[in-house]
Amino acid sequence: MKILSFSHFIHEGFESIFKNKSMAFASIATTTVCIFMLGIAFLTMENIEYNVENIETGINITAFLDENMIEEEIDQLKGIILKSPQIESIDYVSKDEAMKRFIGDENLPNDPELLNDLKEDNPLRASFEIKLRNNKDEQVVIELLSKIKQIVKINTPKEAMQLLINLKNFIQATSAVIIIILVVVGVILIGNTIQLTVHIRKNEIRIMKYIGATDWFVRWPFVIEGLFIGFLGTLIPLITLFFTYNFFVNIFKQALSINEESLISFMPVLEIYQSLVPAALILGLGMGIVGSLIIIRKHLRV
Amino acid sequence: MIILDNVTKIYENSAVGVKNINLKIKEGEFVFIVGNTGSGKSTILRLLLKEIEPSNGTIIIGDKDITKMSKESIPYFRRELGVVFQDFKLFENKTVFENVAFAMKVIEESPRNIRRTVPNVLSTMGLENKARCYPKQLSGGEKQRTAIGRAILNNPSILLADEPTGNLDPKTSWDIMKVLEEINKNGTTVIVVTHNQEIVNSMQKRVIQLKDAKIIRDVVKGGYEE
Repeated sequence: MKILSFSHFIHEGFESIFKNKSMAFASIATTTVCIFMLGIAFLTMENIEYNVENIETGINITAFLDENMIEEEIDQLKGIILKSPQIESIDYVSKDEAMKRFIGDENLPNDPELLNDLKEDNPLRASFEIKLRNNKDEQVVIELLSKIKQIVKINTPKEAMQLLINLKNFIQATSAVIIIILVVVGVILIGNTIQLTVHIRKNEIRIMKYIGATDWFVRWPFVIEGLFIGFLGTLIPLITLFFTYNFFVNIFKQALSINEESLISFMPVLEIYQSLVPAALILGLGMGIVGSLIIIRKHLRV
Repeated sequence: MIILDNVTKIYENSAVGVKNINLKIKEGEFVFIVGNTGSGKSTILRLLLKEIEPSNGTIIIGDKDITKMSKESIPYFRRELGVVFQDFKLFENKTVFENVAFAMKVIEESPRNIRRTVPNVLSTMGLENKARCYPKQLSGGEKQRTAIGRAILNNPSILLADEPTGNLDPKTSWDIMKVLEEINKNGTTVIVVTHNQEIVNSMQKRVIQLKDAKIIRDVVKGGYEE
């Protein structure tokens, strides 16, 4: 393609947008709505997944230790267990620490006498709270721990963990379905708008073909028009969502009484945008180009 | 030279466009193709433009058998033809200058060449004062002259005109026919499909008459016969 032709295509593409303002506006509005819905779905799903992961990584395996172990043996054992590649960290909870936590439990009945008795003769065991690198390795680690004589009991939050894994899988599947539906709806909507534009201009396409224009000579201005419409239709919702995200996060925080110490937190917008921007651009520009190429095809058969 | 050798066109709905057409048109000829609606006139034009394929037979234009031409070659083949339609087929959102210039843009001519050539053609067509007008600001005759200007801009060897006077009053129709005759005098083969009996009778050119998809008359100098 000659540079002269390229400048002609750019000129024709933009001229067509300005001369068919209402159609261009309809196309940009359609893309904007699609990408906006997609953006909201994306932001919601990312936040849910982020929170599920946060909760998931907060779950530990607790290994209770033999009462007769002395501090040196405990340190030694901690060192041995830590060598296992599946384990990220181990926190040692002494008998006293365990008692402090027990007394601090808000659900405990207020019975000072009972608590004093417990303090004097502490029945609780010292334990290791073991954090895994990946929760999928839980079974491997349990098998490893059960072979150690000094470990008398292992507590695993199996049900809670399974529930979270199931929840995460469900959210991932749901988000994939929602995003696919939105993409299909978007392609149909944008396709219809382009079809209308091409229908209005099919006469022009026919004239170009009669004069001896190649298929790509006809297509390029439409592609450039589609690219521009796709770009604007993506940019508008991305900017809008960027500036309204924090506003809505604050509303949610107030409504759900979420503070810094809460279990639920929200992802920073910049972090989400690292994946949302390329995804939305590929989708917005892609829908514009692919839509125009598919629909223009039948009018090129002159 | 244009040769149609035993050409038949049957459309998908089984309608017969043309049947066993044998025709030779020499370089520089002026030919009228006449006949009633549905007689096959437009089918011949569409076949020559390679808009449709014949079901049978061979079509040779110049030294090319266009029935064997690849899809990719069609645009380049069409650049050697000029074509004019009853409904002018102008770009409504382009000025007269831009409409005519478009034929040169398609063949990727430089803007300098376009700026040099287009005014000459506009002047030949008597449109020098209309260069900046849009089609809706023009009369029917001016629109058709713009379309002819676009068709002859790249000096085609053949000019095809499909009912070029169909939407024009008698006086303007004559003006357009004079323009086409002038183009023919410069060596371009001109093929005009028309219903206009008065013009065909007066101009006394070669007349090919079609009826029911067949050629029923081919005279070197003649008029329109019912």
